[in-house]
Amino acid sequence: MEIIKAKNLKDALKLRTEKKFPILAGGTDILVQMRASRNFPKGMICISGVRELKKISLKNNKIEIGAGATHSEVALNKLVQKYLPALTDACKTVGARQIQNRGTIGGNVMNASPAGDTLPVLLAFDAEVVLQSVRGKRIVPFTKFYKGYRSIDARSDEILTAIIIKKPAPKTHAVFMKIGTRRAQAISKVCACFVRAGDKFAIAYGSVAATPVRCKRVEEFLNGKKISAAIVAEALELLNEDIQPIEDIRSSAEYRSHVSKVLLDRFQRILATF
Amino acid sequence: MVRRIDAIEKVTGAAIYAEDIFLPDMIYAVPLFAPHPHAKIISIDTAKAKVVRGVVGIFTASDVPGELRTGGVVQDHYIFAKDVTRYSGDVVAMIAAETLEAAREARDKVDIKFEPLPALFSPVDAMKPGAPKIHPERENNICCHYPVRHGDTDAGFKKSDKIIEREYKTQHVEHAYLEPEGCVAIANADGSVTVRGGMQHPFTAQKFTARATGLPVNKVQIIQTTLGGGFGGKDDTISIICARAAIITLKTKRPVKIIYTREESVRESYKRHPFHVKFKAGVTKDGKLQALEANIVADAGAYCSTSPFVIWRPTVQCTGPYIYPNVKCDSYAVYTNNTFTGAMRGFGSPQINFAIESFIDELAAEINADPIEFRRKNFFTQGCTTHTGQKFDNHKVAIAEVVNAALEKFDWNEKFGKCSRGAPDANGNYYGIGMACSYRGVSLGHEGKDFCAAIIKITPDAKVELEVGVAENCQGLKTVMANICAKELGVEVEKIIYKDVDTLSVPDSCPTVASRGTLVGGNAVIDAVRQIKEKMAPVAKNIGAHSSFEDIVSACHSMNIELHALGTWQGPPVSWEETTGQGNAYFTYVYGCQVVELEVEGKSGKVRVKKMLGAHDMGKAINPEMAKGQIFGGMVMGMGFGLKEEIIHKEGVIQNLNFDKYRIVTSAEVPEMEALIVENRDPAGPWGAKALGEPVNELMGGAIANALYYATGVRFRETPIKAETIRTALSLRRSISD
Repeated sequence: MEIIKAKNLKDALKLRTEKKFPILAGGTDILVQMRASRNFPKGMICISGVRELKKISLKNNKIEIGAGATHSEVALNKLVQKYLPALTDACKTVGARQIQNRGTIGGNVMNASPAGDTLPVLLAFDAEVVLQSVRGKRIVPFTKFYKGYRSIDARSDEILTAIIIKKPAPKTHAVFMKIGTRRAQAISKVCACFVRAGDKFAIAYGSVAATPVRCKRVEEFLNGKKISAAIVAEALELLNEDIQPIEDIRSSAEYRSHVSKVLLDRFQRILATF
Repeated sequence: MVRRIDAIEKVTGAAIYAEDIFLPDMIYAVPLFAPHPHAKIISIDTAKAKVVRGVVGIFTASDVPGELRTGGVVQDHYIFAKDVTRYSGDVVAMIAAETLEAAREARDKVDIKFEPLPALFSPVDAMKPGAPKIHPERENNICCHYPVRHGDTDAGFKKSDKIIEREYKTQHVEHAYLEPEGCVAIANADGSVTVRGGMQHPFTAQKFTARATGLPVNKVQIIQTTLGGGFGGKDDTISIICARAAIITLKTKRPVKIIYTREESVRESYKRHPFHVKFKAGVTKDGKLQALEANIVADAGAYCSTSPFVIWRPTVQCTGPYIYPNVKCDSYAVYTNNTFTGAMRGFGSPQINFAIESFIDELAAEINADPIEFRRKNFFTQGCTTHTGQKFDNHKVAIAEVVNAALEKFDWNEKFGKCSRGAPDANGNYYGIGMACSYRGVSLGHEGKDFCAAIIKITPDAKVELEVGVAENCQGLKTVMANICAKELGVEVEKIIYKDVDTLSVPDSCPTVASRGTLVGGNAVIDAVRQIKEKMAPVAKNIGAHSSFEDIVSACHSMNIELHALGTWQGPPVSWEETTGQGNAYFTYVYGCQVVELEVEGKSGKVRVKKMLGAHDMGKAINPEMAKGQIFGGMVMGMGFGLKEEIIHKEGVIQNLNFDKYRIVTSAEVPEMEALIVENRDPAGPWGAKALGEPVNELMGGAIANALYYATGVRFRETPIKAETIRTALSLRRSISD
């Protein structure tokens, strides 16, 4: 297999068009998948040395996270810690330290696993993904990016270069929660991100459907309401309409459905302390 | 503190494992597995695979020069599946090539045509009359049966005020050693073969390899490389892999390397037997046990392996450390088309003790007795007679002692009163503690001959070469042997040059299993040292009282006194009567108690283990730090058995072949731990030492189940006790007081 190390973004985009090879960032998902399927491409374009893709910045009220930033780099970033602590928490629960040091946030997005830990956070914050090719740049809202199970709106010559999140308004409260089999090296049974900004809510779950999902019914029900245990108890009834968990080797559909409710209820308790 | 003699090479990466061996002209071989767990093989088409660049050869059952079938107890295990596959880990062929990549590419191109046969995935189905036979040469699918008949259980039940019946089930467990199976085989110019590899017992590998190649045993040399973990799992499978490597090297005349991937290892290698235990016990109002009926059915999988011994031990220990005057026990291992099962740390005891210790607490609850007082009323006592008719008068019966020590150190009485007992706290969480205790036969007992040898050779420059017939399994055996040798000889441990087991040098010393390494090896070393000292004594006397070890050695050599000795140890006599299950099963016993404190998050069913404590009578701790390490490691492994680990078969095919889906406990969940060393020296052991490796791994499952009961009020009778199960049960829960 030919591994071509891209020198910079321009080089990477050119290689992507010319060679059509898949992108290798941290390799924590794609290498495992290749080994399991024994389906090896002729070559890969390695972008782990492209520094432009590691930048995390705040411009015009938008936080832009380079797709090549590793989970550790995102988790340790001061801007992210200040404005998106839920994303910090999510990055800290991916695999374990070794995986966090290799795996990138862009890789988490492009791998498109419904269990990707950072995805509910990005979804709940209405993130946008920046896709680039030699033809130009395209910005796709996160809510439109996942089209089905492991199916994404990206073209064969494109590279994910950044994720953009609007700087949250003051008094935005957000939390990330995860249920796994153990404290490290555990793929989520359920993960979720809950956001309250003023009297508006954003709620996103992972591992409970073919893609990460926004819980529109629950959000609409909660929007404008003063949150209480009783209100959330009502909202829990709607949650089942927003998620479609399945049984797999990690857990049962019944358990996922149950703990999804537990997490929403826990969010309500946390909000009460703010 | 004693330093492990192999510590530096391991932590610096200098230790040589099988994978580290590279020889000129070496080829690589990979296994091709059964396409279906039970199928008739119609044809194996290798045409497309053979032409892959770099392929050297493809080997199947027809290439086996010696016996195709092998096994330690019953020879029913096919080295290569021929005509029929019996489980999904059966190997149909090995593909050898210049590179690993070429071997794997060729493997993908072998075309096996097969016809599925009716398959059996549960022992219950396999035991039904008329079930298809997995081994046609046998009468039925029952691999082995052990009965015990002691007293009259009917009379015992008549005397009882309460008769209680319960059932418990356990799961397939993977050993999860760090190093998957690996070896390198070399055909020597004289027609013999040398295999270096990571096996627990080089002599099993030697026997299996000789049998499969048709070579005499002395033409098969097995040298153990640094072993990356065993836990009982590096016996049958690695020995078969050594045999396959030997077959390939003898045919190709090139060194052959086989290193399994994790998936290959988990797919082919044996697991811990799942047990289905049924208990019926009679007890009087005042808490005296009267009778026990036990029925144990274990899933043996496709091949016998060590099943008869793994079933026999829990038969001997089916009462736990409690006196039942009347006992009837029947234990079976049954063939199925699941992955075969064999030795794993505990050897049947983690399963049976999970059942016994859960049951004892259930009995106590049924008669409204305190579980500890109830145990104390029925404990084995000094001089008591067990259900196999063995009188316990040759060793200290220390069950009450270890339990008292453990509970006192744990503040049991205070904490027991705080258990939630089904009533959650304000946050919906539950708190509980639980304990389990056991007695355990030391070494092999009536399983087989019990022998060990050690060779000591002192060189003219006063270095002590030591070779012992039992093997380093990462448990620290070399360090213990070297320390016993040094201390007995009166020299510094740095003088000992430890030689790894070579089957052409030291005599076969029976497997390094059954927690016997320290006891049997230590005794053989002491015997060898005694002989050396006898040779040195007159010389020392001649040259004067203040002469150094070096001076005496030098004098011996100049006087032609060879400082060379073969030390041996023979196990004390044991006995067993097969039809009634009566006899002195083991020559001595150990006692242990483990306690656990945990919290259950009511809403998610997640369990957080807060503290574990183990108190074990090991006779004598030769190296207390390593002994504590054994206790800690055993408890953590037991925690995985109780709460997390499970090999999941779907129609005979394992669904979790790697550690992303087979989840062992990580360091992030390991709680605070404490180890209590209890020492009642045993006349049979070196310096009084008995056994520790397995006793520490047989109690945590039961302790956790009991703690979960005192926390949630729900009794869980099946391992692993997963968050999903707990959550579901809690939603249907009734508190203990209801």
